[in-house]
Amino acid sequence: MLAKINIYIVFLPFFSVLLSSILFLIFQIFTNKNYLSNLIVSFFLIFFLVLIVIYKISSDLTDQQIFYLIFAYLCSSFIFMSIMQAHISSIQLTILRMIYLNPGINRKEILKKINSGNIFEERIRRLQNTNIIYKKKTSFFLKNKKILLYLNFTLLLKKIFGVKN
Amino acid sequence: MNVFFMKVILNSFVFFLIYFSLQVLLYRFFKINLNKLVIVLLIIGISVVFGFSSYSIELLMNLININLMILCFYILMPGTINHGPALEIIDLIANKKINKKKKLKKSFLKGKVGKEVEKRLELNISSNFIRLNRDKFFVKRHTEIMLIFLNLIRKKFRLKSDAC
Repeated sequence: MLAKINIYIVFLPFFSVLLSSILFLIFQIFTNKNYLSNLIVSFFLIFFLVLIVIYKISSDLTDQQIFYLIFAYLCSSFIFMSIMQAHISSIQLTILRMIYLNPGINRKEILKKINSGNIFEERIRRLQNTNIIYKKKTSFFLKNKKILLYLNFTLLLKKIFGVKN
Repeated sequence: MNVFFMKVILNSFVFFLIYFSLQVLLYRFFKINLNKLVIVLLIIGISVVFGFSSYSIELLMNLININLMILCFYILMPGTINHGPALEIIDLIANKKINKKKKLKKSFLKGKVGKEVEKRLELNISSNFIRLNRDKFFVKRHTEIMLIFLNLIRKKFRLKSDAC
């Protein structure tokens, strides 16, 4: 049978993500910052806590358990963040929600409500609000160059997978 | 960092490399996408049976890590294959040096992302999320349950979505 301590170790990363989600909820209720900052801060705070717990009990843990605790927390947090992000920017989910709220809606009506023109304006507004781009007269420029890392990462993945632009 | 710890990391890295290479080979040469919900659920199902019948904590931890890695791939892949609109705008500004709003919008609409809504609509049909009845769309029962659950999360976490 699995020892009690092992069961705690197996569930600790998931419990940590639950804690992180509660912290995120508290930030969402009580702070005016945008959701992404709240999400990142709550993730790092609990990650720091996990590292402290690992450090405190490291003498009782095997190498594999330490690796498991860190890796499982990182992966579970990524999944949690992606679920949160899907509400904000998933076009597929937006369409599903639209059909759910308006049963029997046809293609023409959907494209009237959500089309590439709307999406462009909405994304530009959001990129400005999150300080990723800024407007100077009628032109847009990149403000936060860190986003280029993510862009280059996806472009690299596209190249590796042979996805055409 | 001792040798054993390095070995544990290397083992997981080797699995990651094998899984990643398999995905690349299948997608690049045969256009087969392993990131299907059925495949992911099948792997998780097999892992659950193995994990709980083995009574080995090491195996259980490895299986959880492997399954989490597979789930992360499942989430990451659609964004890789289909460039999101925000990334497309950043790509146009940063790499293609298109800065004027008018030109930016024109390039955006002309590009692949310009037909994104129709593409996602087709994806919803092929993924069995919605059904088409005489040019009218309806969500399926399982989609309805998923949307109710996601709506609950959205309300609880006070997330502002694009949805109308």
